[in-house]
Amino acid sequence: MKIIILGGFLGSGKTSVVLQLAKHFISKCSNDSTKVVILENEIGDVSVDDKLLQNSGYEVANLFSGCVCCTMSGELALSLHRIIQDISPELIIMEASGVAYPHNIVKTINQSLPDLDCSITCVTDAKRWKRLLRPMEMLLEGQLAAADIILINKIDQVDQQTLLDVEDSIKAFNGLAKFFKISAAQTISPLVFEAMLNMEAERIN
Amino acid sequence: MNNEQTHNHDENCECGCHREHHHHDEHHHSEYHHNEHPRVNPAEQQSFATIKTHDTSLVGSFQFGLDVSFDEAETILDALLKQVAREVVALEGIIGHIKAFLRSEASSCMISITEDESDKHYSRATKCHVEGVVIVFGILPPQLETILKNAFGTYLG
Repeated sequence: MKIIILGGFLGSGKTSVVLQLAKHFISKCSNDSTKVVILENEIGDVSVDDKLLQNSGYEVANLFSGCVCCTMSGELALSLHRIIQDISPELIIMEASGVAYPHNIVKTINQSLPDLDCSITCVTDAKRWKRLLRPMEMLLEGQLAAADIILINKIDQVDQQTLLDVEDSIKAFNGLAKFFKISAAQTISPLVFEAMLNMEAERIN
Repeated sequence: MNNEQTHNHDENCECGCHREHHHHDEHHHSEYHHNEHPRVNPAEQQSFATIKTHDTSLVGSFQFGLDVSFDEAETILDALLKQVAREVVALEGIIGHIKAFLRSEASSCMISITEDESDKHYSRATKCHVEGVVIVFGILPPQLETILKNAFGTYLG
């Protein structure tokens, strides 16, 4: 069983990536939708993303009204134990809230479930990157710092020079991650998902 | 902001919200004090709006009903969310995201046949339900409260 933590700032396109990743993985599992569980974390008093995902036919668990990287870390561990015990999927996609630090989530998971194969993919918004960088620098840096894979999203909405600038800027925060440029509003290449799914094997190699 | 189930906020209330807040790190996540509590039960379709802080972000949550068709509700909600965005930007705030989920009761149809022709009776859905979240930075809680009131006040009851 593996868990992919999908981090990234608010509005970067995490849910769009989740939808396509789940579809990709299920298609590899003879369309058995129980092989993947999506764990959503939203900090508002109501949840929005989980409704979209549930309507798409996926198994969704939700932790809302708090952030699992800090205030709800205990609830995260409990939820994961429950998912493993009740559903035992092959893949858990944990969509972090847009203000979460994914490395904190990994720390919580490692403490509670040390044998779980856990990787971080961070989604960034090419269109808003420059606008958000100065006011949100600490948060963006913290979200990118421990990412194994970084997806630069919304590339269809920026020109070539902006994309190059954004890429350089993001690499200054994390030059070790694997980078992919995507437009999650369109079909994402299966190569991206295979990289996300095989991160642990690549790390060992 | 009105709430059909408004009650005073204290540590003995049984709504469960306060218990949850006690788990929170005060330095990281605190509640902006309102006279109302969310009782999140979409089945009851109660109206509410709340504001909390989380680190440097302000988190506004809202839920209300719209007694119009789905298409009409979509148009109204789209305009309201854009209004929220405009007001946040006008105050030089930064939009994290503004999103809402709109759903309607399903339409229904009864088909009856006594001879060879069918008789159809439709019931078109005219009730919609909205649940949404506004996460912003760089403005104050009272400013977000005003923005939410301006946009959703009519629908919050």
